[in-house]
Amino acid sequence: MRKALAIAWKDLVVLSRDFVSFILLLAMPLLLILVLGTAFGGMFVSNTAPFQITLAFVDQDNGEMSRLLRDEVLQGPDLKEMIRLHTFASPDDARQAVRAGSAAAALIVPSGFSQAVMGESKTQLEVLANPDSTIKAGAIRSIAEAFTTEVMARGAMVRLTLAELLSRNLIQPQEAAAAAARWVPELQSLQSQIRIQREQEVAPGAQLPGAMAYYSISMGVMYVLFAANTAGGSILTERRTRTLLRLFSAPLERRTVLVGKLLGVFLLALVQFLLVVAFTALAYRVSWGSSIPGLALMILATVFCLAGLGALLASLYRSESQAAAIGPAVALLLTFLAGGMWVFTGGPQWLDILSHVSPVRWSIDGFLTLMSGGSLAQILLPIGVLLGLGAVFFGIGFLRIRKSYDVA
Amino acid sequence: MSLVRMEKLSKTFEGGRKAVDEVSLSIEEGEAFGLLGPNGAGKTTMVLMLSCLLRPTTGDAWVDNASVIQNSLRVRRAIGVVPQEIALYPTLSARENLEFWSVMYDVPSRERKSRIEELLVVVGLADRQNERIDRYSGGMKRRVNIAVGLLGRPKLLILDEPTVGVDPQSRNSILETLKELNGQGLTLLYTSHYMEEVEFLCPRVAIMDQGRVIAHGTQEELRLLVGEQDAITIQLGSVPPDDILDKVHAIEGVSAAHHSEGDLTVLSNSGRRVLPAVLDKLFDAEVKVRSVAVREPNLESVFLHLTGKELRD
Repeated sequence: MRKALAIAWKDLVVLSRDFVSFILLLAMPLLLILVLGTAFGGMFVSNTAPFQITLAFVDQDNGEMSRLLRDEVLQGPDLKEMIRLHTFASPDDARQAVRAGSAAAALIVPSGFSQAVMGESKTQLEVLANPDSTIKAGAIRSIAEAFTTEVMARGAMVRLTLAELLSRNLIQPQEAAAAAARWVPELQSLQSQIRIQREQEVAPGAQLPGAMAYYSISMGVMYVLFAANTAGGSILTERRTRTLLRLFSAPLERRTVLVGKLLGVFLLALVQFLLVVAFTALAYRVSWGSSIPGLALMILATVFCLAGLGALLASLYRSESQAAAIGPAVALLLTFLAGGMWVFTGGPQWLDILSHVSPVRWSIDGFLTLMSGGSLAQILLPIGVLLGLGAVFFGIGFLRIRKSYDVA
Repeated sequence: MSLVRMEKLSKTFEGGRKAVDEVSLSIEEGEAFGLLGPNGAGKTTMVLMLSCLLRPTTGDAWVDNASVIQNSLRVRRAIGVVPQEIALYPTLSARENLEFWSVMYDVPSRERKSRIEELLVVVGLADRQNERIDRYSGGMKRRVNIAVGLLGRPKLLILDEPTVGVDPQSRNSILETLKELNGQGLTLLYTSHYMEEVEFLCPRVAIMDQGRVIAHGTQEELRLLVGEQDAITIQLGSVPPDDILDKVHAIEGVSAAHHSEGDLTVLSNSGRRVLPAVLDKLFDAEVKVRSVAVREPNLESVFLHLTGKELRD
């Protein structure tokens, strides 16, 4: 083991001597996290501030239903803390507020909305979204859809009831409209039925990761793969420079040489990711969650898996130029597939399933769970998958490399 | 007592190419043994088998009574290998390289520092030990390459063309160092296609061609194979016609003739007697002559005598 450690340490020192490449390898993910986190920040919910939506509200209806939507739903006890409501007189004013970024979305209740709900004519609520706040706008759209569905269903039920009462002369026609307006909201408390989707996904009191946090994971993981590929490529360099043959002629077992090389891949990837975690926590205020054992295990599982992938790739390459060309392409593809470049929120389910082919996705899932307040118990699946994949990758890589150097 | 013993050692590569063909040799403890032959003769393949890097197809070899097939770890403990390539980490310094390789060669940690310093003095790099290898000259790199081979205090140092690409001054320095180490009792197996190096360093020599040992013995014994012949070397100033070798061969007293890289080499029982006839043939063919030398046979002549080729072919 002493010799394997010496080989691994030597590899780290050799890589660090290529100063420009080494600094780029370490600094690039930090720079990318900053750029992507800043550019796509609006699409995410901050993980330090509470989840709040500033909503521009326009009531052109001035009826019972718009009052109900405003007072009982949007400003009801469940959503009041979350939604900061600004009422505007006209849709143009609201649109202007959204465009200026002072509101994440605008909700316009058209004229005649209440009447349409009671009658059978068509109507719809209009939601205007700020493209930089897609998640917040999506939440408002969910509320609007839930409200519309609910009141339409209740309106239909009231209409049926009133028709029955009228047919039996139990109620006068002039009393019917007033009864409908009174009965729809009172059939059941609407506010208890309407939740934004996000509330169902996140544990109470949990904080959601922001863009900086998200890209800290995805870019960090992607560069771990870059690092693993670079370190894996050193096996080919040693083959070219014949130092590998010299190692094989020294008095040590061949498997010690390979364990040392693979340990070097693992250590570089570990250093790389630890640096990303430490730097983003200090410089970008990214919270990696409160579960230290969970975080440590996730880091180890991620690095183990991706270092294994680096070893497997190294065993497939025939030259250093192949390593330089194919490795980064694989890293980019797996990160893209995992949704590491941008979030697949709202995408088709098959895409979500497909993304789990990439180990990067399992890493993202695990770290996101930790960042959202999850515990070690909640990330056992991603940890298990990553460790399993890593073992397979390392195993195949080890056997292939050993076979390719089985000269004696 | 033989430190190295090879018995019908053979290596056949995929496709049927026989790189080494039933070689049987032995090297005594403390001697410097030369393996001489042109490129592709099978020297490196033999070195790789003795270094346990290539498994023999048939036959076996023993180093310090350990078989390269059965007990390769023991063999590797007994040998130091200096490959043809500079097998070092170019971005590490000479000292860092030696520190790393000393771990690989089981140099005890308490001896490591003194061993490295001792070797840096031996190869003359003590004052530049902290410079990166990639900033060294070719000769300096070669010297560190040799120092790594010596780290584990080997019983046998195998050197595979260790002076390739080195300037004459560095080459002499390397050869002097190796001669000194051999004088201290270190056994050397030295492969080269430079006849002068082998002549300088190795009292006993095996000559290889096309995977076979075509002759072996002391330098004197090998020269006797050529007999009392002289070697005439004529440096040509223009390209001779294709049939010039046939014409020279036809001269009475000429036993072998070869043309390569602007030199015409002729073996004869009486160099001074055949020389005018050889020059006549050249002048008749309007070939310019730059210089003429007649000397006693050397290993080059032996190789020419045995194969009809020159070592550098």
